[in-house]
Amino acid sequence: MSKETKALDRNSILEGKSPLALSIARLRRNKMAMVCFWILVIYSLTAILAGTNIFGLQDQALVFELQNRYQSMFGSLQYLFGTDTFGRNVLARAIMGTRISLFLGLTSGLIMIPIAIVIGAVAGYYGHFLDDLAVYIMSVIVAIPGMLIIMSLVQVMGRSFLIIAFAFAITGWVGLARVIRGAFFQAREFEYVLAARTLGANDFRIIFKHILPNIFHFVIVRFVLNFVSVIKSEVFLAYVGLSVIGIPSWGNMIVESKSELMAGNWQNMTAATIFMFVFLVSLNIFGDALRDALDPKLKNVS
Amino acid sequence: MINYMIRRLLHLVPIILGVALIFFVIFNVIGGQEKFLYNVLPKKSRTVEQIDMYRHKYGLDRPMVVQYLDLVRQMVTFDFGRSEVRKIPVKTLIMRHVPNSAKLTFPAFFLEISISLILASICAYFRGSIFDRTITIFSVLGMSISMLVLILLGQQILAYQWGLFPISGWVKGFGAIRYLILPWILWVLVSVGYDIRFFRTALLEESHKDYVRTARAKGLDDKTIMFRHIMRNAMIPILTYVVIQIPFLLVGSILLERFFSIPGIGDLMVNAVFNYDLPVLKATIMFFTLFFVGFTLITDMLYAFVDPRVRLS
Repeated sequence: MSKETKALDRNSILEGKSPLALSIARLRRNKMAMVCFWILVIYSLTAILAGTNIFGLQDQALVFELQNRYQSMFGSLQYLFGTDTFGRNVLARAIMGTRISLFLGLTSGLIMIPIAIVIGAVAGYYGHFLDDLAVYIMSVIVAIPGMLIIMSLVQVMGRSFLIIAFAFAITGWVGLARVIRGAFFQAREFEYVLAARTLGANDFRIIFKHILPNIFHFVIVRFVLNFVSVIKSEVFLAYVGLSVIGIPSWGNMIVESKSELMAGNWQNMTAATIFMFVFLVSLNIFGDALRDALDPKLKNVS
Repeated sequence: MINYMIRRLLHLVPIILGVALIFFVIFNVIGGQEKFLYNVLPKKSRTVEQIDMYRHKYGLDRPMVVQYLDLVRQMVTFDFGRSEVRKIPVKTLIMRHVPNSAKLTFPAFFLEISISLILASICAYFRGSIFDRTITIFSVLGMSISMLVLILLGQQILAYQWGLFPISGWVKGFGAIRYLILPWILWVLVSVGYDIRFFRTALLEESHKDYVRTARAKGLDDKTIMFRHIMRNAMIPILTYVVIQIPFLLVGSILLERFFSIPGIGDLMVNAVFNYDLPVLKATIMFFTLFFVGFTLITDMLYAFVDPRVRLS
C-alpha cells in the first residue's frame, strides 16, 4: 500500500466515510467521466422511452411511407437524419436501435455475471479439484473462436433476442470468471478471511459477504465494458444476417447502408454511426474512470 | 522442462474432448444435423426412404454416444471427409485458405504491434505531455469505432471515390499485396487503440515499482531506466498479450475477408455456418484449437525464458 492510500484511509476514518462514498467522490471529481455518465443516463432513458409509442416513434420507425423516400439529412427536426429506402424515419429507427443495443448488453450482462461469480468464486476459494474443473471448462470455451460459437448458436437456435443475449453471455463470462478466480485466490489468504473463519462464519458467508464485496469493482467495470463488446458484436451479427429480425438495430442500419452508399444515401450510415460512436466513447471513458475510482490501487497509474 | 512440456501436451486430450462436446451439443443435440441432411439430399425426390438412407449413410441413426465418439475420432485423426457443399476434401480446403488469411493478418498484426509499441513507449516516456494526451484520446476514439463502419467508409471513400486502392479482389502470389494494403490499414486503425492503452498501462505500472526508484537513486538517467529496466520488465505482460493473439490470426478477420473478397478461412467459416457444412466447421474448430493450445504452451515457455522467477519455481 502506498503512502497516499494510507493517508486517504486515515482521512476516511476521521470523516467517517465509507469506501463507496470515497469512490463516488473520486468519480465526481473527474469531469469528463461525469459528462459521459449523464450521456449514458440520457441513452438509458431513450431506450426505456423507445419501448412506448411516444410521439408516434414506433410508427415512424416501422411503417413504410413510400412517397417520401430518401429525404435528405438535416432538412427538418422531425427527419433529422432523413428517411430510408422505405420512407421510414431514420432518427426514429436509430432511437429504437438504442433500445435493442442497451437491452442486449443488459440482458447478456445479467446472465453472464452470476455464472462468472459462482464459477470464479468456487474455483478460487476452494481450489484443488473444483479449481481444476473450472479452469478446464474455461480453457475449452476459450479454445474455440468466440464468434464461431455465437454464430453457430444463433444459427441453430434461431435469431431471437434472448438467444442472442445468451450466446454473448456464454462466451463472455470466461474473462470475468478468470479475474474473480484470481482475486479469490489472493483473498482467501488475507487476515480478514481468517478472522471471519475464526469467528465461525461458514464458506457461503465468507464468499458472498466478506470476499465478494471487496472485489465487486471488477464485476461492475466488466458489466459496463460488456456493453461495448456486445454492441460491436451485434453489428457483426447483423452483417452476417443473424441479428434480431424485424426490429431496427444499429447493426441492421449499418448493413442496410452498405447498398445505399454507392447511390449517395448516407442517412442510415450517419445516424447509426453517430449514435453508436457517442455511446461507445462514453462507455469507454466512463468505464475507465469507474475502474480508477473503485480500485484505489490503480490510482497512481494514469 | 521436458517433463513439464509432456504434462502440458497431455492437457490437449481433455480439451479436444471438451471442444468436441460443445460442437456436438450445438449441432447434434440442439439441431443442425437435420439441416445438414437437407442440404446434402438431392434436390429432386426427397422421399422418406431417401431421407432415412442418407441418415444412415452419415451415421445419424446411431446412438448419441457413438456419434460423439466418432466426432472425437475425426478430430483426432484430422479426417473430416469432404465438404458436401464444395465437393472438395476438407483438408485441401483448409490448406488452401489458411495461407491467404495469414497473408492478411500476420503483416497487419506485425504493423499493429510495432506502431503501438513505439507510440506507447513515447507516451510512457513523456507522460502527461500533449503528445501523450492526444494519443490517449485518439486511442479511446479508435476503441469506440466499429470495424464494419470503418470498412464501409474506407471502401466507399478511399477506394471508390478517391480511387487510392482497388476496391476488392484477389490474385495468387505477390500481386495480392495491392489488394491487401487497405485491409491492413483498416486492421491497424481498429486495433491500435487497445494495444496502445494496454502497453502504456503496462509500462507505467512498472515505472512505479521500487526497483525504478533504486535505479534513479543510484544515478541512472531516465533513458537507461526506461529501456534497460522498465521495458524489460514490462515485456512479460506485453509478450503474453501479443502471443495469445497469434492463434486468432490464423482464423483471419471475417469482416475484412468478406468485404475485400480475400479467400481466407474466416470467409470459409461463415459460409460453413450458413450452409451447415459441418465437416468444414469441425476442421476449422479443430485447427484453431490445436494452434491455440500450442501457442499457450509456447507462451508459458517464453515466460520461463523471460522471467527467471518462473523458471526456478
